Amino acid sequence: MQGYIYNTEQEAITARQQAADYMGLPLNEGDTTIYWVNYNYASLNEPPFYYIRYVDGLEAVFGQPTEFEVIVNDMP
Amino acid sequence: MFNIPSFYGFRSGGESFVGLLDEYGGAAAAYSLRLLRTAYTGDAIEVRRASDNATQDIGFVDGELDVTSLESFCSGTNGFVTTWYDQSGNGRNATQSTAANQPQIVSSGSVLTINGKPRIDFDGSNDSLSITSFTFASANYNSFVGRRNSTGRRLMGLAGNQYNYALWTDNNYYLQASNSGYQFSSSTDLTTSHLLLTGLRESGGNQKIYKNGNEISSTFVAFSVATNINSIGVYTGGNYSFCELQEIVYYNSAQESNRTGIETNINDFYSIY
Repeated sequence: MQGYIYNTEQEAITARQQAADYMGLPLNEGDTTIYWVNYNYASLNEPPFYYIRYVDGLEAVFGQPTEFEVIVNDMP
Repeated sequence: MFNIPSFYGFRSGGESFVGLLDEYGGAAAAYSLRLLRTAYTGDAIEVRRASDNATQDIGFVDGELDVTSLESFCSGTNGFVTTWYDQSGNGRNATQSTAANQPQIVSSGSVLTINGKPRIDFDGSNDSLSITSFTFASANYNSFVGRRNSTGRRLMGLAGNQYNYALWTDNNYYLQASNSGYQFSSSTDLTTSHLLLTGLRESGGNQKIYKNGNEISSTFVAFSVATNINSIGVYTGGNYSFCELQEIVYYNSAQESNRTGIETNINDFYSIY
């Protein structure tokens, strides 16, 4: 997938907030929508890492995304 | 006496609404784009429009989603579901706080539909709705209506973390209603048609899967520890639905004697089969 990799959860939290700030989220206090994108933890990768999946427009905040694979524990 | 069919939610004379949950009460969670219960006075969904991120609750008109208000609010833009309200009375609203992960209901000002009825699209990569985790019982029942995006992709409604609850189809049909194992249909089905899927687990441990009212699998599965349901559209971390959903009803009881009635009510409204 395309996205952005972070070594620590704090780095991912900071990035998530940067994206939300760029989008002006939340629009109002108490709104359901508080983030533009969220981070995930690639726990099955070695070494594990945090990442944010690329969505249209996110390069304006973080620059061009990189390509990487995330291992998931597939359903049967 | 001429009777207006109850599938429109109104009995003869048009004065009295009768919803699915009026006839078959006791659901533990219920999500729909139609009104399911007379006493439910809340909205169907909360929607965020892409143009400015403003949100608005959308309710019902004559028992169906208020499409006029929704298309007016999302005029010329896309609309995404931030909350799918639980009509069961248990307050298990399904929400998504991340804009990029919200499923879509309006595209360029037009409500997305199947057979003329509104639908919610899950994109298969990160869309899901979260529910405050609740424990499913050793006997349980789940019906949902939807359509998967393509062959091999997943149509799934309610789900939990791995080895918790899920009813889904990719090219087979699966029911995980006990954390000791799951069952699946032995034959593959490549359909991408509109489906009504039902999975029920009887108190004795027999599990059954129904497609469009017909049983396609029945298996005994032992039950060990009760675990949880906590989402719509994602099972564990990375197993996302790539599908369109319209309605989900879940009971913490098997509903064997009510199954046909529940499925008939749903099919009469959505014209699935």
